[in-house]
Amino acid sequence: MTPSTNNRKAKRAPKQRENQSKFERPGGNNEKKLNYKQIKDKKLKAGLKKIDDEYRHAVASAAATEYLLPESIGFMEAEDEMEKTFKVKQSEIKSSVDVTTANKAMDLQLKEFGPYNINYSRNGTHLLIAGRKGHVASMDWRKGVLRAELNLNESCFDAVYLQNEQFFAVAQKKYTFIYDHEGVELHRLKQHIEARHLQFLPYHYLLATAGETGWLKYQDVSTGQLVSELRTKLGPTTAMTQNPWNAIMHLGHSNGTVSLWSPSMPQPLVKLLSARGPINSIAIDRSGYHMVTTGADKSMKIWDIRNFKELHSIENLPTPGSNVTISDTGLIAMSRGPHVTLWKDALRSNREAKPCYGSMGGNANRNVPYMSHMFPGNKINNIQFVPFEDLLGVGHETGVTNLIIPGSGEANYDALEINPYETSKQRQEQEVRTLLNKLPADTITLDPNVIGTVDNSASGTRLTAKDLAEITAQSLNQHKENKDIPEIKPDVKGKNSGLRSFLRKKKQNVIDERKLRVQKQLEKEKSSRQRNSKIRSGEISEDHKDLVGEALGRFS
Amino acid sequence: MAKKKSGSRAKSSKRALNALELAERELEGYDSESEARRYNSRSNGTVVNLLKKVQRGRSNDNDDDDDEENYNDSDDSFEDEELDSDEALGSDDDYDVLNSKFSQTIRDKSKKKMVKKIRTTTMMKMKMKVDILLFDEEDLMPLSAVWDLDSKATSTEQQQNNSDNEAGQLELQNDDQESGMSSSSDSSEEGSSSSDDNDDDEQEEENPFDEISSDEGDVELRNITSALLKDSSRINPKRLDTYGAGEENEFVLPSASKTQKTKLSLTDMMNVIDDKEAIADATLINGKSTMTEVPLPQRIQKRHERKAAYEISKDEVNKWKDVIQQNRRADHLVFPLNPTTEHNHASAFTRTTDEPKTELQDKIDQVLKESNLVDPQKDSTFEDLATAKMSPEEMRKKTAEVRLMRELMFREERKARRLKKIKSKSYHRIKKKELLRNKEMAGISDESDTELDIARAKERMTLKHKTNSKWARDMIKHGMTNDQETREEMEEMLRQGERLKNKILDRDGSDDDDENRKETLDDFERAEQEEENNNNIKENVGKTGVMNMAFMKNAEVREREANQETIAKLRTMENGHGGDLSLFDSDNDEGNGESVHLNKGRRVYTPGNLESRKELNEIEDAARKETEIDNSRSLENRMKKKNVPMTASGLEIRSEDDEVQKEEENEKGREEEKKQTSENANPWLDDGSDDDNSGTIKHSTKVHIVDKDSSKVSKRAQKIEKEITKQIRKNKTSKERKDDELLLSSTNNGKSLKFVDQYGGSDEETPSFMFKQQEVIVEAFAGDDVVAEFEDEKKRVMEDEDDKEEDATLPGWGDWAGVGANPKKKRKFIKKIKGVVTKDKRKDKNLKNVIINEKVNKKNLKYQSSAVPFPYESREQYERSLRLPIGEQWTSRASHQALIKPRIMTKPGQVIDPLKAPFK
Repeated sequence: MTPSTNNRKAKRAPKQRENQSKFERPGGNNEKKLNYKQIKDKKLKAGLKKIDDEYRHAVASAAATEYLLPESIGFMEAEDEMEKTFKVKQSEIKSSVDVTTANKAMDLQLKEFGPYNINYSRNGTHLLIAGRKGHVASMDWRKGVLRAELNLNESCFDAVYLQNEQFFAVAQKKYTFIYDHEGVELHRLKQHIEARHLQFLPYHYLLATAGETGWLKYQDVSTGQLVSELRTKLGPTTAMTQNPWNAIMHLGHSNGTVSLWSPSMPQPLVKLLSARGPINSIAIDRSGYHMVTTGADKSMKIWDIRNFKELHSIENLPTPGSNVTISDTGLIAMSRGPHVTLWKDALRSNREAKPCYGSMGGNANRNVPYMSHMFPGNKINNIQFVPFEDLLGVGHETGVTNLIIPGSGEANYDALEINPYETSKQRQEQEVRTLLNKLPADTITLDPNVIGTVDNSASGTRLTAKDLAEITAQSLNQHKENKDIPEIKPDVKGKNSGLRSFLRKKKQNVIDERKLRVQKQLEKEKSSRQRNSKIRSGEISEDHKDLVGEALGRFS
Repeated sequence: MAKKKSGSRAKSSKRALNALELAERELEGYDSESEARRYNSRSNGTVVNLLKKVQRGRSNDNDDDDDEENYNDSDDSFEDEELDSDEALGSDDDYDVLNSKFSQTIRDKSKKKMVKKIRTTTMMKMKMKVDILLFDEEDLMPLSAVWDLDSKATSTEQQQNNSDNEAGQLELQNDDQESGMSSSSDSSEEGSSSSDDNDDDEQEEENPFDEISSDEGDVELRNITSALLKDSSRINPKRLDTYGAGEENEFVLPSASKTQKTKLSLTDMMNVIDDKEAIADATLINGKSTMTEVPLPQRIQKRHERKAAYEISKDEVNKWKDVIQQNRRADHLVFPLNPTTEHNHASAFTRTTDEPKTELQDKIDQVLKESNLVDPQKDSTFEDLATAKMSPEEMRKKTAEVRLMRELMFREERKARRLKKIKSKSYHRIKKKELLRNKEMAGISDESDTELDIARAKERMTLKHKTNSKWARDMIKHGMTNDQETREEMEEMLRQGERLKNKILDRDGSDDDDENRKETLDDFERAEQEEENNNNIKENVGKTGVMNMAFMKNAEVREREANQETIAKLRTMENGHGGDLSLFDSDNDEGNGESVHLNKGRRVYTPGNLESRKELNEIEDAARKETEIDNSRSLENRMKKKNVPMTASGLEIRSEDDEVQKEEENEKGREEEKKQTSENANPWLDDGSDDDNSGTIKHSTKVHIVDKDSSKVSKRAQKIEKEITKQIRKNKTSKERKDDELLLSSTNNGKSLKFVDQYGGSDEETPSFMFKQQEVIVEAFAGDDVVAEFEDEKKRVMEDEDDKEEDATLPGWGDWAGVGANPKKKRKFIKKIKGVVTKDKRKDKNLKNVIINEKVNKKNLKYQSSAVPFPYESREQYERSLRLPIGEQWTSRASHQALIKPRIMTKPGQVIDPLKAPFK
């Protein structure tokens, strides 16, 4: 008669694997071990040991499953030292890759409606383009099916898909609008004025906008509430991006600072000085470790935003970089004027990883560009890597082009998270699931791991009975001294009355019957109040009649 | 109860119940008689007992006492045990359990003791019930025996009878309840019928024994019992000496028969009794007995009872302890706890039984067999395998054998492979030579063309073979050439360079350079002479054409003169004149119409001249290099000299040193210039040169060794350099402050700015356009001093968030006023207002260009715990428990499912029985 005990206990310690460190978690085994000998409570000790055991097994099994990933990333490689990958042209790549990939490297020629802004949906199935002159289109770009096309006759600055390709938001001349998959206007977000940059936080269902006004506004897309409005006090926002790891917004400003915002804090969490002129563009890698900024001062800087240290700084780009983005595999793509340049391995901290142009002091191991491309006589407006594809989408003055960048896409997708081949049913279910798992806006913090932990100000150890008693005694004392109730403030009557506010609301120069009535009423009230006060002070008696007034009153 | 041995518990319990009933019946039925009987028993009991003993003693006179004692001892021990169990029996619930235990103990004992036990147990029962009753019963049997004795005292047949009787007694005592009180009472009244009674008893007795035999078929038991009976007959009990010592007469009273002295006393009789228990019980006879004590107050009695009951129940519950603990500690429990495992044998491809069940199966089997498709391995069970039949030792032996075989084979294989490889040295030599010869014949070089190309390119890139590499220059400069290793390395480099040169010029390596040059010079002269001859011929031949025009002629003459001059110079150089380069220098001056002083004065830009000058400079540089090479060729000599520092040619060394110093200075000058440019460069307006130097100041890595041996010049140079570095450092610190000035100065710098996109190529914007853009940028950000602003902001934030002190002093507060008051006393009330963080504890204290907001986000606080939650003792422990996410997105499937596995699992619709006692 033996109850089924846990088999894992009987198991030996899990095998250590080479890739194990990849799956360790902060505060993992590699960090300092708990001193079990200090723990006197047997039950607690056993529990903690069990937790450790579980953790070790989980890490080991996660490491063991890595080899099951079907695909691997493939970068373009030079055959010998004399060959350089950045010399390879798109036409050469296109001719050598398979037909489907070559087809994906599409080139939309849209010369009329001027510089195009592009946005790929999170699973990469749909492409949303917004021409500055009002041409907005949403399409299933792989199939070549146009889902919606609009001509808004208004300048459009940014467009972004919401939780899936069914909805998208467009930052137009004054307001931001939300459209559905057929291009029907659903909402006009009148609080989001003159937005120039849009970002959607998929796990919080928040649409964040920033622009000319210098306000950062968060709108909950699922409930329709305006979650928070934050005033940056730094003038028009020149760049904006989100940190996909912790949903913090990074805003670039014209004084060269980058500020980090969470909707629950009225001040920026961090401010960085990253350029000496306006920030042109910000990019953050998928894991939230690195940030790349380009400034109008021709600089490009790579930051480690875990500890806010500058990794590399390139001060002398030939022309200021206008856009920068980082692929899932860590490629940095930077555009300046008509050029697109990509670097590999530039996010490493060693000196040789610093991205560079051309010769660079004759250092043989310098990090030369991985690839480059030029759109002659054109100007790039926006770049974005296509999720799960080896493509870089480029929106420019005369349309949209996809460049083939080998090794830029994540090779293995997690269909439970983002499925690039999802059916409509799966999409619906995913939407419901994400809605159920929606995170509240105030969970956004710089370090999301603090959620659930013990407050920093609290004591690090469990309170003993003595401590508890002390605390209760304190609270009792507080009670005695009446410190637990708010201070009494003299009750001053507000100056606002309904009539007054009505008057204020109405336009000054419109005088209608109702307004006259209100005015009359107000005057009457005022006179009676004065009279009352006079009576109280004894100036006049209660039955006093202003004879003069009465006499002249007939003329009024 | 005594017949537990039979194994049928039900029967025994029934019997026990019967006994109880009978006892009750006795109580009811003989109430009236009880008084008298009791009296009888009191008076006669001892006698009866005595008689019984006598009888026993008579039956086995001859036996020794030891046996007897053993017998008694065993009895005692048994009685003890029974007592325990009887106490326990008080609680009805435990009846079964105790029974079982009891039965076990019984089974443990030898069969020999069986019968005795039977007797004792019955006795115990009696005691347990009513003491009085016990006496009664004890009366019964011995009384009958007495009667027997009286009637048939001496006859041998009677002895036989007695033995029978005893057996009967033993059996009777088992079942006296059954035999009934009536019969025993009868027997007491009617002595004559006692034998009949006995017979009856015997008959009655047969039933239980029959049962036993029928249950177990126990012939052995019978044998044993009979043997035991014999034994018991052999035992001789103690005799009462005094009893019946007098004359035997019908009318004589036993006590008064002979003497008054020999009066039968109770003590005498007591001495005879073997049963110690009985003696102990006979408190009345001993005279020790006192009045029965007043019973304890009921609540105390109850308490004792409770205590006893608690002990019992505790023991009982403790038996469950292990099970409970195990279940509590188990991570998961599946109910029902021990499900019967159902092996699903009936699959399509396996069969549990060998016999086919249906006709179809039969047929299929046959077909399979015929087509030889039956897998014998599959059919054979584990037991059928040969290995299963082996003993472990055999198995071990076999595996060891196999392993040895494998090992031997492997070694053999390896040996063979090695042997295959071994070839004689000469073989290899011949082969190599052959290969080389073949290659030569075919004209194939060792390496492929591309590889060669790469190697050549590498050579070119690395410039390893020249002394003008940075490393070599440093080495020479700092006199590191004294070092053996470095010198060797340098020599190696030079040799390499020579080889390369030969390769380039396609010369034979064996030729001497100098000879070569001589030859070339000679050739040159010869050619010139020939030309002159030709000229003569030309002059003679014709005087027309352009070539005969005056300016052409002049030019020709000039050229020739120049050539001759150069030849002369070369000659002088050859002959070993020192001032080699000065000649060229003068050449320079002559060649250019204007002189440009390096580092001095204003720069003059003459575009036409610039290019020519550039070319000239290049040529000069080349020449310089060449001479340097020459020098380095003599470097070996130099190094040799340096090894012996103060030789006769000390002067020469000095001069060379100077040269090096000069070079150094030049370099320094150049560097200085560079630094200046980088200093002056506006961050916006860098020159676009792509190297690191532009952004950051390059610290010189040179190592200057200045000691007393080094010359004055070098010392001075060192000083100057130090000063320069100091200045640079100073500049660096004030650099950021002076951004504006720099902006201005950069425009006034006068240095032409050249913007080249090394990377972009020709498609770039033109420099002029770029220049315009630069100006625009300068204008656009002229007023901005973002860095300083940021620093200011950081400072402000630091102060704002720091702890603050507030002077809350109110003048005159708490002081006396009026005449005679002492107003001098000054009190300061300083209120400390705690800020967010102190300056030195800020996270961004050591971070440049970063301001981190340290304010607590109150909205996030609700997602944090305000104290360490219960089971955990510290923050680390608690946070450690949070480390591992459970969700399937973050862990592997297996670990996710292990993590979310519920502790208790039940199958719906399945009956879960209560825990069964595992200790039965």
